[in-house]
Amino acid sequence: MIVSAQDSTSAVISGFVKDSASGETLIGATIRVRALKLGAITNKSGFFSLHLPSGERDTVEISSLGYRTLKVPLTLGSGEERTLTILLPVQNLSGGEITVESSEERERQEPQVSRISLTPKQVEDLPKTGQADLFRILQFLPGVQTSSEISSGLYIRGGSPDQNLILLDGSVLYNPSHFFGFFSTFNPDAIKDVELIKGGFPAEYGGRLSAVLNVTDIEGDRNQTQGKVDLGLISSSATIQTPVGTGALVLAGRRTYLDAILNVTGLTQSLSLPDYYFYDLNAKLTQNPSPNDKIVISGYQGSDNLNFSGNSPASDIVLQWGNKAASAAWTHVFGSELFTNLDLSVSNFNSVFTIGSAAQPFSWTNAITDYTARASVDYFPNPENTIKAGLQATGYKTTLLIQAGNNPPNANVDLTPFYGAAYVQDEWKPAMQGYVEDPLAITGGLRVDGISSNSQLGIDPRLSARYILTPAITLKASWGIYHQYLKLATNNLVPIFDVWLPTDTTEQPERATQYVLGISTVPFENYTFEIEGYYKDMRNVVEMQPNVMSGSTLKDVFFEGNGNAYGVEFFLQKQVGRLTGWIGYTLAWTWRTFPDINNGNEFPPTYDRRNDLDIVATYHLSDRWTLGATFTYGTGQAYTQITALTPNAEDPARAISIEGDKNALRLPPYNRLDLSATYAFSFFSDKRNAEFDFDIFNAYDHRNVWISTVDQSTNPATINDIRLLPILPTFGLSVSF
Amino acid sequence: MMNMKNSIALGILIVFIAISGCDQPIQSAYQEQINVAAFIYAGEPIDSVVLHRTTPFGSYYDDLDYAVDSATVIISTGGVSDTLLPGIAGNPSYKGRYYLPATKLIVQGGQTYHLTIIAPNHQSGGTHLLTSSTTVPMPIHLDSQVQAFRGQTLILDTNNLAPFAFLVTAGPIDEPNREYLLSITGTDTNYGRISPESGNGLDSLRTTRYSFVETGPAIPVTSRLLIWYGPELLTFNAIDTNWVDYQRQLTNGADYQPSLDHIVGGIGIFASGARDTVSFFVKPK
Repeated sequence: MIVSAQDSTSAVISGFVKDSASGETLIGATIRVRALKLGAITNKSGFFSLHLPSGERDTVEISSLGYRTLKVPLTLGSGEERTLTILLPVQNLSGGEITVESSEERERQEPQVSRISLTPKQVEDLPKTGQADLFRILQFLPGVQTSSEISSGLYIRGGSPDQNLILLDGSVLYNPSHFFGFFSTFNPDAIKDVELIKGGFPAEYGGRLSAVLNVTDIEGDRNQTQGKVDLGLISSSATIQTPVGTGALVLAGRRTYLDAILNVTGLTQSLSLPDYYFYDLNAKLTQNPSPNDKIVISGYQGSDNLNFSGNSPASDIVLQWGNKAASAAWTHVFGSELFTNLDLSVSNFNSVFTIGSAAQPFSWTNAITDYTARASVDYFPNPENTIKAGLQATGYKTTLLIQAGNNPPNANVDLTPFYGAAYVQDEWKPAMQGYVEDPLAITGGLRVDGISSNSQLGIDPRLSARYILTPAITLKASWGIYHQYLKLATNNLVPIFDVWLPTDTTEQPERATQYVLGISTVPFENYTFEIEGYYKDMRNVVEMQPNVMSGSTLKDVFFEGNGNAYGVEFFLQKQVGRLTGWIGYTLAWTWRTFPDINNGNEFPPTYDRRNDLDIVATYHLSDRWTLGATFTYGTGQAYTQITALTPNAEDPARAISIEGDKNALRLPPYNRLDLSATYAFSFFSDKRNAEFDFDIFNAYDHRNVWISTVDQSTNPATINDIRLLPILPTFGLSVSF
Repeated sequence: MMNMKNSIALGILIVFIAISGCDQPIQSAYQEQINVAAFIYAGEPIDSVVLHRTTPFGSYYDDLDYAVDSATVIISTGGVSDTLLPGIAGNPSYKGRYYLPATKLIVQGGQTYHLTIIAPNHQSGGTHLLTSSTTVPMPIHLDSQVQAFRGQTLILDTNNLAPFAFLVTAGPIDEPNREYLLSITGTDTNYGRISPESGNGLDSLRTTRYSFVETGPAIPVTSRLLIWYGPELLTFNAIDTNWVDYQRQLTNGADYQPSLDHIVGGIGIFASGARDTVSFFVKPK
């Protein structure tokens, strides 16, 4: 029977979907009335609202990846608003069929293009390099590139890492990396949900040109205390969740201990190695003062520390960098149709570099702190529309001080601009006569934002559409304009001295126009296959001028130019069954044009990759054994060739290099295979609560080239290829209690 | 569901697109260029314009092998042109160098000078034509406090470097946007090295270290600027914009193209300055 929701008087069901064991809210769960072909998806708080015709007996199906589907029979009265709290039990591996449908259904219903969700389990089951890392898995997704295997920076669809909006529980993280970029700051044990939007993101997100990575930490077990300990070769972590008051508390911590091992073994002294470690701490307290209210207070602190004692005090080095973030959020549900969120957050990134004796050090200190207040509403007025609107106010404080001893500073930046934004968007699903369901969904939005240090106002219209062509084929498209007001001065090889500078009157805000077109299909049972093409036009993007040590305006720090990126991505994925994983292939072009670089000619940035193939697989061999493998092959990194040498005019004894066309050559193609095996067993428990994993990084020992350098200590000068890591076996132990 | 035939067609399409994406890198071929090193100073004769051909990467590097000794070098100002002589004063066979005797020309502050160079192109068989211009800063003088260092011996304690820091000022300021650069040159390397070598092996030959370019005529001197013990020559320069831009592009040339060296038809620098110097002696404690 073909029924449209408009045929009867409307009623509303709303509420939260939760894990039945822990009470954790579930993000992205689908709520569906199969007979009516109506559905909804839970938001970041696990909330949904669904308009249904009244007076009929409906069966509501609630499902989420990794959980058993629940079927709830309902008969709603005219105009009734019914609130539900739905508890989903975890699903065993073997019972995957229903979840497949849930996954596919979400894919079909999802109006957002270029959106990918990952779970912590996916991160944990794949090969590790010392420890599981979220960014290293994201780098295997089509459209996501990396600058090298020792970098966790994400280069998404031709954008640089500073063009990604990275959120942890709503707080912006400005440099989410540890160990000189080798690891990301996200502790996998603390993560509940990862959402990556590679392009065409909606109006609720802004201030960045390229992509959004939205990481939500777990809220904690509301029913019982549980914990987990991970012991790895270079770091260990511990997580504890416990019921507190009307909610739960989560504490998670992680620290590396290479410094301690090297000290104990005497290697620090004998090899003159620096002391180095990093740590991070996550804390999250969730309380529900009433069924309609939730208050979440969360905090994060991470820090990297390096100390090196040289042969003399003049060569002592101290390096410290890290992020701090704290947020308090209050969500309130008014009736069945209005979900509100208010949050306050503070986020800080700082780095300090000191070399020399305490009496006369050379020091570099920089920081960015943002103080943000955000308010948003999700309004579900009728079956056709879901309206979102919000306001954001952010005060930035960005500082940079470069100073040698007591001399006057070479640079002394202290800026306090204000950023403001407002947005409204509507997801419209028009009921179309003769169709079994609403095949068309259009999300239109407008974001207006600006920064006090520049008078230009960004007016960003966003539009995306989804059309269900057949039960197996969905078409998607997106268009939008994006502005970015913060510009990043950094070193891409060692990204720890990030200096974020607000757009001033000497340069324009960065601006992008994105176009995305995609098709999503179900080629075989249990598989989804997506093809997306994109084109991104970027204006006023920046490249840092070399050797900037002083200056008072952005023009002194950056070259300003334009760029574009285009490509096509193929993504074949299997999310359930014994074998899960994906094959992703990207064919892409990225270009930059700067009047002051490369004689004004177009050039590719170093991270331009023409071809990128990624294969990710996890195979559940038995109840005890899980095997994992990742393989990547990509076009070599672009680099600039030295074509000649000539004397330095100021110091003729020294030769300077004359370089050819910028980034005109390519390093050899990059390829690597990583393998892992995980064994589950019981550890003083009647459950399989422990896992031992053995990982092999770079299994066939292919030493990829990192950078190509010129060695002038020989005559003639020669080119030296600096190679990356060899084969590297690691292991780890994880115990839950 | 997609049938098998469609899946195979899709697979073939993917392979086709992948192959079409395998493009070749752009080659950066060597192109011979003439490198100019020409500094002229207010109140001084033009004692050295140095010309080199670039050395192709991978060839044996010897600046004398690539010195250009058959160029025509012309300086003109106020409608009057002078052709420079090969070599340096007293040594006409000094390869790749050109000078003008003091009796011909003394550079004047505030005056604009034009440089024209015609040099053979060994790669193509034709000629290189290079032009550049500079406007000379007005003369400056070091303050009396620094003048007092002249001929003095300063003691350097490498375990306590903090006392070895002083501010050098000069004047007068001839225009508000003038920029300044200070250098210290160890003029006799027989007294031994202070700071360890850095960078490539050629650093062992280095005698001069420069300060940052400063926007006012006050530049801090720290032990960082010293390389050698013994006699030192401190030079305080008021510099033109050509020099400022050359400093900016010095260590990462490819990121400044079109280059900031203001040489049309070649590379290098034609810059002017006004300078004052003071000599002193540095001894270890």
